[in-house]
Amino acid sequence: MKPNIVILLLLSLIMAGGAMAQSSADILKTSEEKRRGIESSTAEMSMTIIRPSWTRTMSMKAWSKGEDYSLILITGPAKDKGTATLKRKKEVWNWLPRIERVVKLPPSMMSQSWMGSDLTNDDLVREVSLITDYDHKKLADEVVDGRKCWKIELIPHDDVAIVWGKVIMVIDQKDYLQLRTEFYDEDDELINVMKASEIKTMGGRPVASKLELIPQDEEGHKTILEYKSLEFDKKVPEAFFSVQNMKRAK
Amino acid sequence: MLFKIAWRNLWRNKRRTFITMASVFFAVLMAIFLRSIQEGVYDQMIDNSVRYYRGYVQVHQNGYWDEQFIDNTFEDSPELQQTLENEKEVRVVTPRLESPMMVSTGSNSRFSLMVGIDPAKEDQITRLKGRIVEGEYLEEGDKAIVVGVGLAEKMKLALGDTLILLGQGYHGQQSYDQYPIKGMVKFGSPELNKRMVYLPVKEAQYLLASPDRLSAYAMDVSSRRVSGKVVEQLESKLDSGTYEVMDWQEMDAELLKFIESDRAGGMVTMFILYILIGFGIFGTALMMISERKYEFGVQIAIGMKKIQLAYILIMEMVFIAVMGVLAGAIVAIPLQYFFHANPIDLGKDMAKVYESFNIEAIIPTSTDPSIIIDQAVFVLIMTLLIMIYPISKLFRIKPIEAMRG
Repeated sequence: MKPNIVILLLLSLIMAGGAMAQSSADILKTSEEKRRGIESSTAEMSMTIIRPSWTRTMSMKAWSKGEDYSLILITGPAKDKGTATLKRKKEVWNWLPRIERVVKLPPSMMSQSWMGSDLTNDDLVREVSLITDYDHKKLADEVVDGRKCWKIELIPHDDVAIVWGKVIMVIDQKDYLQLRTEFYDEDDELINVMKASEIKTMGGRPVASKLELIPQDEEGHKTILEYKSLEFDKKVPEAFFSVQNMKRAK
Repeated sequence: MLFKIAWRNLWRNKRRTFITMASVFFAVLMAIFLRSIQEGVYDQMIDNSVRYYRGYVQVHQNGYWDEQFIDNTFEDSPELQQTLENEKEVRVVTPRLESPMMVSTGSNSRFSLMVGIDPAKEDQITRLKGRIVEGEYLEEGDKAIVVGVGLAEKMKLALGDTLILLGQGYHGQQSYDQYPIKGMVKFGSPELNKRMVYLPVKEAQYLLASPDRLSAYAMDVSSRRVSGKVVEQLESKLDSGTYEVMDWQEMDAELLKFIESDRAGGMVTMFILYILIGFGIFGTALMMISERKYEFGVQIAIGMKKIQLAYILIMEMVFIAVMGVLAGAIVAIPLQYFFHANPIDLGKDMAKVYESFNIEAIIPTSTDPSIIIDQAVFVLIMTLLIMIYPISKLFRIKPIEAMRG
């Protein structure tokens, strides 16, 4: 489907106008579309892993197309340059440039750390849909960094394989930015907090350019993602997200 | 005198004596054999973990055992190695660098435990070289791996195939490389077979981007019993803020806990067996009294003291018990040794069931002499306790009634 800019603009105007009346699902849908682009997104970013005794920064490029396809390419440091992670629907591959081999990740690896960070492979390639795989409930509004926000509670459906027992998202009412996300386990204990800040205009829209993932049970552990550039809805063919192309991506 | 009478009494009714003795004999034999098998399986479980894999004593960076993670490794130092080697009861010291890693053929991946070893020293502790069933053992400087047969089977690997190792290295670095399979090892424990991947330690350090770092120094000590002492001595010599010293009992606490609870369960079975034996002896003792009521009546009537009679009866029972126990033990000892040398193989079908408990389907017996002593002492004590009731009956005998009866 070709996105028609005029219709899109109209739609967002209407949505903005009727913001108070929106359902949680609509809010999440708009928010996700803004985050990911309706069609696709291309990003350049850096990831910093913080541990009590060391920190490490990597730079990377990421492409995504809808919920099904994404490709992340490590561009630095030199030792890891060229390493790529590809998601196609439910399958995940790694490209290991030093030995020129492709490895398909088994489902059992999904809960493992991605590149040594606090993100898991699962976080990266999230198969579940925020909109259809959860039940939503609006909680009382909240103000974060001077912005009025909706607070939405998401409870995963029983038949969906989601490790969380509950997710709470705090979404800015003006720009639909996901300013804070809290991940709870099945015993209702807070496990991870994702904080978004440093709102900048990127790819023609306001974007939270800094994301911090803070695990709650490990002191001094943190992973920071910072966007250097973002582009939305550039034409990316589906063939771009192929095992063959993963080896060539630049 | 009384002793002699008791002895003669025994052989006056040979059949009764033999029947009682036989019941004690079979009970003791059975109890010893069951206990030997039980302890044999425990020993085997401990061996599988301690002798064939961990070693009796290990030194790690303080805190490593609770969080076995590459960042919690220590930097190798010649002084540390020297300190360990100088310890009197320590036979061999070997370096290890362990880390869980994914092994993959590209399309097929599994979890494994990568262990970087010093091939020569490792062999001195765990006899790894002797466990090679296909291909060859590692040599220092090899850029190759040795894998467990279970892993090879699950992933359909053959010698010479290349396997990718992928995981997290030191300080969160992405680590991966590929290695040809040089050999395959077979352990008793199915779990180890499915999990182990060995690499020379230098190559492992390179792979994990952690030059000179080790997760453990594993040590072999002169005997299982001194491991606690070695730990104490090393703890006094090493900086406790930097290093932790553990013996197999501490590292394998979970296994030992399992054994303890299983042993307690086994006690219940043994207890039932003992109750059966107990009633056998009890029956015989009661019969002995009632059959010989007339005889006792006469003896009391002509002036024999009841206490002396009781003494004779107890002596008789003790003779029977001792002879039964001795005979049981004498037959049990060669059986213990025979099945220790030729363990009972439960066959392929049982192997699957046992595998789920991570136990080899081969049952050796323990040759621990304390098993026999324990059983012997227990049966003797039980015999004496059982005699209380028949003896009390003896004291209530009235000579006239007894002789008329």
